[in-house]
Amino acid sequence: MAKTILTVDDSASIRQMVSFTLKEAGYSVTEAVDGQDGLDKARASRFDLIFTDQNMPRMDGVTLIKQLRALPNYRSVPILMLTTESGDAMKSQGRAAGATGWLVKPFDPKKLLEVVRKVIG
Amino acid sequence: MTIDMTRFYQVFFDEAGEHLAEMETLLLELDIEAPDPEVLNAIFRAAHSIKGGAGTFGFHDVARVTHILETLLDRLRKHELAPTVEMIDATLQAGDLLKAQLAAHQRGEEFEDPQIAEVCARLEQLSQGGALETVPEPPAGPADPCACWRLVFAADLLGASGDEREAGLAAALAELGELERNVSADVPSDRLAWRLCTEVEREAIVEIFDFLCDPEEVEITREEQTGGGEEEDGFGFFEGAPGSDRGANQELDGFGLFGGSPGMDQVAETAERERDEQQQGFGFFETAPGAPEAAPPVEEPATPRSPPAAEGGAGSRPPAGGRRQPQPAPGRQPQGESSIRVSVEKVDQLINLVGELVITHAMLAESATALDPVAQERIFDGLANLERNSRDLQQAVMSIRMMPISFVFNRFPRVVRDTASALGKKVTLKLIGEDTELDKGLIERLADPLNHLVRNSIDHGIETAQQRIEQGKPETGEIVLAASHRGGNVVVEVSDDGAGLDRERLLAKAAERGVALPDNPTDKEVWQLIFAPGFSTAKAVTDISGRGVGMDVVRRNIEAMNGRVEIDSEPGRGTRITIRLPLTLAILDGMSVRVCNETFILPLTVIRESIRPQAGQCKTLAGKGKVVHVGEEYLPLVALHQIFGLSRQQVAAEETILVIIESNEGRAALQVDELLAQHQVVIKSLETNYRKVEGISGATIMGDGRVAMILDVDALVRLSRKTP
Amino acid sequence: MNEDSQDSTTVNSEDSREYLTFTLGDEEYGIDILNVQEIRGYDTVTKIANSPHFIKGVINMRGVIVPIIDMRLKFELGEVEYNQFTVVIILNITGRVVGMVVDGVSDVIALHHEQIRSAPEFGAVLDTAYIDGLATLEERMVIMVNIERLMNSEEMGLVDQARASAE
Repeated sequence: MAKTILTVDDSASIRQMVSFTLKEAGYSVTEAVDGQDGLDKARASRFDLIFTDQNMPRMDGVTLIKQLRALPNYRSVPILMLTTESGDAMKSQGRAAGATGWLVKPFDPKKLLEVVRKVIG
Repeated sequence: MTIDMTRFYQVFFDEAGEHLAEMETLLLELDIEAPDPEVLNAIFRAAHSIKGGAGTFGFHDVARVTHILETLLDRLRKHELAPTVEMIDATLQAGDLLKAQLAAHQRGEEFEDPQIAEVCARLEQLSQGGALETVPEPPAGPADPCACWRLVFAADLLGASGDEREAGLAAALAELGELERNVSADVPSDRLAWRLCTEVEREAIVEIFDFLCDPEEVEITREEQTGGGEEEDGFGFFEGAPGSDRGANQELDGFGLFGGSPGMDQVAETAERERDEQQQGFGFFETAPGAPEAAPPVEEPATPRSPPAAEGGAGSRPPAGGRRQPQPAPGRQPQGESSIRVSVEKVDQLINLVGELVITHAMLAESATALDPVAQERIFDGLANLERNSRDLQQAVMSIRMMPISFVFNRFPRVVRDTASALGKKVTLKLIGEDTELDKGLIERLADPLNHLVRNSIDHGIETAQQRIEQGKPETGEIVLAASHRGGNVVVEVSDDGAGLDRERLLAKAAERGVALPDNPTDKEVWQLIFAPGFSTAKAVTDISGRGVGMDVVRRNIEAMNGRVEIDSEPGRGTRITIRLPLTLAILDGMSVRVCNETFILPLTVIRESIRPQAGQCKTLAGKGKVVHVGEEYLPLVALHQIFGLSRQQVAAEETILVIIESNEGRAALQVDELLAQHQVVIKSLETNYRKVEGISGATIMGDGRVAMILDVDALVRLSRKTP
Repeated sequence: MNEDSQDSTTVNSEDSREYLTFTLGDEEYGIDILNVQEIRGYDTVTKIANSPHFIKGVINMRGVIVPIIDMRLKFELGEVEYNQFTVVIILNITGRVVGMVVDGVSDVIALHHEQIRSAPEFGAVLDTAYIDGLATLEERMVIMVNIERLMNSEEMGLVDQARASAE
């Protein structure tokens, strides 16, 4: 069965790009438009990997990660922050919240796939 | 794997446009004295999102401007800086530039303008200066995943004003990361060698040079990183001991993993498996086929269906629309995926099909008139149901095209602000009824006329603060944009509390230009003069409302939407311009009339009454052609059979019917032979396959399947003047 | 649409193209079949005010408003009758749909590019500007018409010229 990935981003273009790239590579991808939507969708299903943006309306990425880590299903699922901010402060925030790693925007589909394969194969 | 990035361009353009619009709205709403932190955050987020997308899709010029803008906005939202009017101005300007840049990319071009550098410099200056506390910029040093580039180029490459441009170049490069100028001596003295440590791609560096000189002339080479554990693509990474995957931080090019964090078990497993697979994989080439069953080899991703295209190539056009795209609604509150983006074409196709359904029903109903309603009760019931359902369906489909007028109103806070400040006037804008819905096509076409009217009101209507004070008015003028639904129409009003129109001056001007006017013209007739070609009421021509070209264009644009304009004005109190528009351009409530053997459709909205003339009611007045004496007035007689050159036997005027119509050209009496029935008709363009016909605004298909022309009363009244 | 039909010189000499031939007066004409949408009988038309006499009016073709031109009137080819034998060729000219009344439709023929000779100045009813060439088929001579150019021309009055030149 195809691995399932949730991509959380308020930008439709980025979301589509991620989703399209990963689907082409054979993953099953679900999109969420912000942290809250991501949380709802994560609850309703069980994903193998979650990508989340940091800056989003309603709920930001770090909060989403914290909330996800509180769910039994997501205690150890890889969660990667997809963000334009590469500063150390943000990284340590993410790490404290329970993120598995980060990926800096802008990135290209190749990079994305490389990372996904590294993480979930 | 190659993914054609151009396929995402249109979505990016759409969302960037939405972000820019939202940013502008928020900026205009922002209370500088007491900025709402949420609003500051939202403004930041808008710029941030555009930057992210622009970087990803390779629009580096857009990314660069948003990056600089974001720096300022970030400091604002962190309260490191207090917002000033200047900052808002600069941000608005940057927004305009971004719009232009995006529009250019959409055309497959690049927007180049010296303004970009100016605005960027201004933004930078603003984000550095005036800090509340001297918070040092976050270390400008190379961000974590970073490469160093060696840039070598001829000292005279930048041409004559070399020094200045060199400084500009250095500043632009410093935007990207850490720049060291004149790094090594091992280049000829006529060449410069710089080093730039940055996270951006080579492309972005090339682009910066491209602004100033031919980037081909510049050697850009990547320096091998020393010390840092980063490997470019980090594939060797997993070679460590199996356990280390779990615990160690892994940092790669633009990507990292936190050692020991949740999820790392999974990563370690994957790495483990990959190592196994690799070994298996090696074995696989040497052993017999069938071996790979044990574990699937590391698969290359499925071949993309899309043709390979230059990734991030800024020049390629986005693919044509027509795709469905899940999208948050463009409103402030994202609504999950409860809305979808559908191309207008598809909606129009739907509207056409429903139109066909309505016509088919009309045909059936007409055929059924020959049947006995009692004996064929079921058919009649069915027809009645079909009619109701197709009407409901039509309305539902039409509502898809309906958009709140806020889409056009929203630009006006900006227009008013800019226009007022250019004229040194104080003006506030009040919006009423922004949720009023009308057809998308009309909304787009309403923007220009409204823009003109609003600017005109500020320019000619609203007085200067000084004048207002002298007249005992509040110093600040007010423009009100109001929209509402009234009896199947949308009414849009632009009103101001300014000086009002000057009857004497308009009359003098009309006399001077030889514009014909009735004797003792009413105020309304005088006000209509401002719509005459070449008529400007301003004493001095200004840049804002131009030279009187425009008001006539405004009226023509509105007429083209089957709309009507009226003016009310009171000296010293202000002017109100009322635009009445149909809800949609797709259907029309009309009256079918017969002229000779032809059937025409007359829009119901223009009909006042219809009368059967009495002998002597129609007469010919010298210089005015045929007129009809109705009540107190003489109305011009519009004889359709004459205008359309239809052959008919001489019919006495008493046997015809006069339909009194209200047109933008004033009232008139339309002479027809018979009134047939009221219909709701589907408007079809004649111009799809033919061309524009004077006096006809479109065509429709009647219940018998035949085509009927829809009358354009404004044009008919004009035509009747020409053919006495 | 059919981009390659706009410039017949680009046609590979190996492949042949199909043409619909019709008669007008004493002459036989051929048009690229890719421009032909359908052939139908004559329906009652709705007149268009102040249009040239050869534009009969418009018809409703499945919801599309289609103008109908009578080529016999256009080229003054004598008596014109409308009965159940009257033929209308519905053309699709770069997306615009136009109906054309002719004396009769005769054939669909396949021609190689080299079978079409360039047209000398001759006295056809049609201006040579709209003629791509002549083809000889057994004993018949067929005048190959550039129907797109003809229908877009000013003299047909089908298109607003300002718009046409802007396109």
